Amino acid sequence: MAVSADLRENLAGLVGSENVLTGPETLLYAVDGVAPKAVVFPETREQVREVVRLARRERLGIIPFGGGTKVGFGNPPAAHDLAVVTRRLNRVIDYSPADLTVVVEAGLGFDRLTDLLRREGQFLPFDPVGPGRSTVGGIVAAGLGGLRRAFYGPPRDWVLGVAAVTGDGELIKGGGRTVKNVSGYDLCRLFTGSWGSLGIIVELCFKVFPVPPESLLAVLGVAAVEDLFSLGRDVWRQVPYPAATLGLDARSARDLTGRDSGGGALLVLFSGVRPDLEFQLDRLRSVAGSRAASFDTVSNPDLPGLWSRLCDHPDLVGRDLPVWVRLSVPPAEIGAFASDVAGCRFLADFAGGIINLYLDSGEPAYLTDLRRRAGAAGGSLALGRAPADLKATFPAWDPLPAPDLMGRVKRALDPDGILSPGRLVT
Amino acid sequence: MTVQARQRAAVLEAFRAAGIRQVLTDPVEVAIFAKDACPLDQAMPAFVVVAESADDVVAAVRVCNRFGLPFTPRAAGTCISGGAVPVADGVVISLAKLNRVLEVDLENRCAWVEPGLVNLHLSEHVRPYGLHYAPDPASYMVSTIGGNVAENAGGPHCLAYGVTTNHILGLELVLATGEVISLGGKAAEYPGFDLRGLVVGSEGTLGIVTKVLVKLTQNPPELRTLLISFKSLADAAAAVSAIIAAGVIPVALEMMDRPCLEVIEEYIHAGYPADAEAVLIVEVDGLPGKVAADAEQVAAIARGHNATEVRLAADPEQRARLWFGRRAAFGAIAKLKPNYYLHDFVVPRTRLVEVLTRIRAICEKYGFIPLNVFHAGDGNLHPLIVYDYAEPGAYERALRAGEEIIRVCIAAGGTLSGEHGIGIEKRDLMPLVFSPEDLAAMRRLKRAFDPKNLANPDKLLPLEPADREAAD
Repeated sequence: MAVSADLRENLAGLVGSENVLTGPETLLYAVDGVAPKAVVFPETREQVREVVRLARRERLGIIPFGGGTKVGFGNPPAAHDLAVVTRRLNRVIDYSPADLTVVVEAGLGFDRLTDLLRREGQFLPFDPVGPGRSTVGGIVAAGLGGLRRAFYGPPRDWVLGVAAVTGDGELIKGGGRTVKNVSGYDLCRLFTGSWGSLGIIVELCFKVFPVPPESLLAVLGVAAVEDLFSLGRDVWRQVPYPAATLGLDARSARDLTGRDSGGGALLVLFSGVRPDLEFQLDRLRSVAGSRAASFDTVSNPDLPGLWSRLCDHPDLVGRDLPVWVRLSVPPAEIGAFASDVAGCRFLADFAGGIINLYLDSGEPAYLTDLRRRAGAAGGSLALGRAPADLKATFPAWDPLPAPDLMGRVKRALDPDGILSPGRLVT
Repeated sequence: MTVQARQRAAVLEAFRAAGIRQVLTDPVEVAIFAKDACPLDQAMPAFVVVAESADDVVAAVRVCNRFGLPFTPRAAGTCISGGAVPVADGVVISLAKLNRVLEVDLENRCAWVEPGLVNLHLSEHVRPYGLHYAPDPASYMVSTIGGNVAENAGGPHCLAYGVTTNHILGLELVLATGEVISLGGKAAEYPGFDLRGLVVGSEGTLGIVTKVLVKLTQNPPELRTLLISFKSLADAAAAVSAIIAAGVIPVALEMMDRPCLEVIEEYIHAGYPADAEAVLIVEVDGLPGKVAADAEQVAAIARGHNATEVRLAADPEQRARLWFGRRAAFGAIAKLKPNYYLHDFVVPRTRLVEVLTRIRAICEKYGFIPLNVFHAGDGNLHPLIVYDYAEPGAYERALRAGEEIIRVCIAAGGTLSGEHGIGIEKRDLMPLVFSPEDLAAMRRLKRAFDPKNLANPDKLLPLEPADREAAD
């Protein structure tokens, strides 16, 4: 392709030819079946800026990539000419354990950051999907809460500073390196969850947290899915400070723990000092009563491996199932969806009001009804992944609130609409 | 009638036709809306709309939009960065009467409230249910949820619980164009940009918030408050860093220095040690085991940093006494001299000693003794310069000292404001931390919300040359 040869040359001039892909490998960066014309791996924020400026001049649509673990979210791209992969922007810029802050480049792998923080007894409670592959920039760009969201807060609560290259080719920043900051508009919140539609995040400052002294996971087998949901709700309401309150379908529970339970398993994570953990476990036992057919606990050294598999639920729960539905409702409303997930594979977060539902095919009529009921309950439904034909008939997101304003905000930072075009905000 | 007078009559008639019952125009009545708690600026509005409902706010904004009038939302007027100071001959929209709790959702632990609700009244309202609203700015007895949202207010208990933005789940917002939009809600995830997050802390420049969905926090089962005295400020600051570094995150970690303690003792008699150079108030909460372990560790670290006394509040009454002095500090200071200039910067915690030492040197150079009462755990400094406006040159010297202090904080990796806002006070200092590109992006975001620049203009962003001429 003539276009491709020119483009390749231009990109190579910016980042070096070894950091540009134009061959069949571009298929690895396909989005909803559309492979980009080129894939580029910039190493510095200035290179990112120059790539965006080039794309703007040439009217090329860009989709930013971290580890590609959440690329299934979003509507099919209106254009996907250029994948900009941040993996080489992976430096740790400043880590100050005594300040509980860390400044890193956006392409840094979450596992590498976790290793660094662990050495100082600290961590970030993001629990991303695809733990070995996800980047900090991708986690923030998606903004999805992890399994301990209800206890620790979603990523938006942990971002202190952000730098990004916006769609007009400018390098901008918001926030800073201090734990409190009200200087200027809160661009940290704006970029968190913006799905690559406003800018390519190049640097982040996070608040970090001390690793709790001890953690323990209680695994309660239940007889029926309805019991699981009512128990999950009661535990969330009545047991003090669980770090996570999760429900898993029976097959996934067996895959994870090796134990059979007819109606699935409730998983309750506690973190803290030993006397409190004992107290919390006692409360859990009494709240569960006879509703728990089995009651096991998992602690170190088995817990981290098990937790990591759980975080990667698109693989553990959703393996071989092409459709990932993410339902988010007010936590008290989640019980109304128990019968919808019966017989399906799912991971529910009772405290966060989130159900990750995995299906082998998504009937648009069924999903439309589910979406309508999620909306009526005060929540929303998003597709985490789906085959292109389903996405062609069923929008990946609910209708946006304030769509006109969202469009104006998008154009304020991406005037020509070159970033993740058509995926979130048009 | 002059053109101006005709225009005024037309605007007044439009407010009335829109169903707004109370519009103040009498200069005497309007005068109290000319300024907020910031000593730097004031301006007389032409109209004060006293809104009695969200509909009144929408109607008032639409009139402003039609006539191209700048408007400034206001509730308690406690802003100390000038965020509630109107534009001369503009409109103030008072939200003070919108002070209801609209819904408490115990199941989902949240509440819909109106913006004029006083922060403390919200916590009092939900106390019977064992819940509270966590952000507690020093002004919590008078400042309102709407004002707290506008400024992204902090407070002593933000160290563990987070600031206002971490507790706002949803908003109803009237844009300057008159559009009413709803953002966020009781669920965790909604599609689209986090505009709720952008609006929190935007100082009324993106529109007027008419309803707020706040998160409610469970009251902790156990709470311990310690008062720790030190012979040196450096020891106290080092203890702060050591506590955080040891992995203890208290819910509050406050520091007061000697000049501040002396004033508090003289006027409030809070029972603070008279001979300390600095004291820390440290509060830990949670389950009993964690609280006991944290309190013990804090005490041990303090002793290891030469603490002269570690006092534990034995009951709620003693705890209230310990907090009373801290809460009443500004009232006490007001008795020292008629005027004070309260600053608000954040520096990395590890730079506290260095920055405090330099602040003292700067103040002494200008003939002041700084008083420090601040959120040490966050690195959020509040140096306070007391002066007498009547004394020739004192005000100007206080301003100059303030500017030097700001530069020291920025150079130490700090930021312009941790919780008081930029407002008018610090708008022209924004280029110290933000590049022209950063500021241009912020301006474009403002225009996306408010194309005619009517929503609380001239705040938060530095004035552009054209604005500056208009203001002069």
